[in-house]
Amino acid sequence: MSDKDVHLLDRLRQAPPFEEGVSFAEVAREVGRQRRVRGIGALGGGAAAVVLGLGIVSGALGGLRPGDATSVAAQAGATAAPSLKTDPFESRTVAYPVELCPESVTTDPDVPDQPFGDVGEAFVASRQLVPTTVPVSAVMCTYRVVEFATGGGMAPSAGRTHRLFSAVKVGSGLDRLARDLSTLAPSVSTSRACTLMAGPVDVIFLRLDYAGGGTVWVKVQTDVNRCTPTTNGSFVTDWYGGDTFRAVSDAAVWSEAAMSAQPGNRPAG
Amino acid sequence: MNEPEGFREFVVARSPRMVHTAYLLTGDAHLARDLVQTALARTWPHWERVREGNPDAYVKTVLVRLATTWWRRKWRGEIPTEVLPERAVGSGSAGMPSATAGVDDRLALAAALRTLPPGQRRVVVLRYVEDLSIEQVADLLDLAPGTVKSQAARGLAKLREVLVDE
Repeated sequence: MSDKDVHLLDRLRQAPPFEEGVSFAEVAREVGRQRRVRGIGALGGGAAAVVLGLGIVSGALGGLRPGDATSVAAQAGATAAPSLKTDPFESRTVAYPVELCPESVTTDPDVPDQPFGDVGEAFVASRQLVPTTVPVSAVMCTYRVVEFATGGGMAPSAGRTHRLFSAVKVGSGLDRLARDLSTLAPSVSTSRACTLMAGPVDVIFLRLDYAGGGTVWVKVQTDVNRCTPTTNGSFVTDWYGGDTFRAVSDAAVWSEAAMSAQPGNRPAG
Repeated sequence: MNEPEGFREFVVARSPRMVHTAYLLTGDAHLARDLVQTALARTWPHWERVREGNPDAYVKTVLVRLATTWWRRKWRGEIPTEVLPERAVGSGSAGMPSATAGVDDRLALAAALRTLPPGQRRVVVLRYVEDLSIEQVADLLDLAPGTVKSQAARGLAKLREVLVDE
């Protein structure tokens, strides 16, 4: 090797490296993205195109946040992996435990099967939404059950099954979660006056697992009218949990901020 | 899954060098960052095992394979440049390097590397910049050692020619 080559190689080796590498947050975000692709893509669910529209469906229809329509529509036809608006992996506590969620649900699904098993206390499901015991794991399973078809027409998908859209493990705030949800007041009436605006609906199941092996499920529906009750299958509360559950699903943390996602949304208990 | 212990520190400490390597491999700063980010993300789940060995080598292997895959999938139409872009002149005072001298040199070297066919470029970068052995490069790129030797020699000759003509 000639002197010229040695000099050339020195230049190659000593060329100043980039002052900045990649940020850890970027790497964490990429890990989250890869998991979403693997986890949700494996389910084979296609992302539907969504356009916003209005119509009357029922008092139990839910709302779609600005940006969601864009993000879902952008995925349609391109990939089976829907993108979430917020990358929950930034909380560094998220897994995508799709195996913990039902693979699909019907348009108006029941809360998954009882009984609960050992939840660490004498829990009576008809008396409170969740046990006061802090769960060891909480997972948000989201299903898009009503969407709006491309072209502006409303396309409620009644009678169909809907595949899992996202599965997010709540990384922290489980003590607060237990406190907030176990103190909700029961519903005081069988019928309430609700507005009837139509909108897309997500069903979100919250799966709570306890150290003794027990499991409790809670169901909410996102709803533009913010009127859909929250239930564990037996106990029903008038508290609308759609905004809170969605915020928790985005952030992967149960926090005071999540409970305040909808103004005036504090539990009444 | 929680953040693996020590991984954040590794990213902070080592990723600048990795971006540099990726940049020399690709000639594209944005792509370089994307590749490094992806390589580190793929390392994350295996970190506990990887950190016990040689994490630099592990990530480098992932990075090179990603770059190779990317070339095969996306960049089949790449045509090596014949002419180097003009460099800034007169920006430094006499006897003193300009404030952008390092950047200029980096850009010039990357531009020179871009004159090489992608395969030759990878060999040159791994062999001479990353100081890997012939066998290591052959293993990483799935080439015969003889091919690595010849590609390295040709690449170096081409670089010499291009940079001497600057």
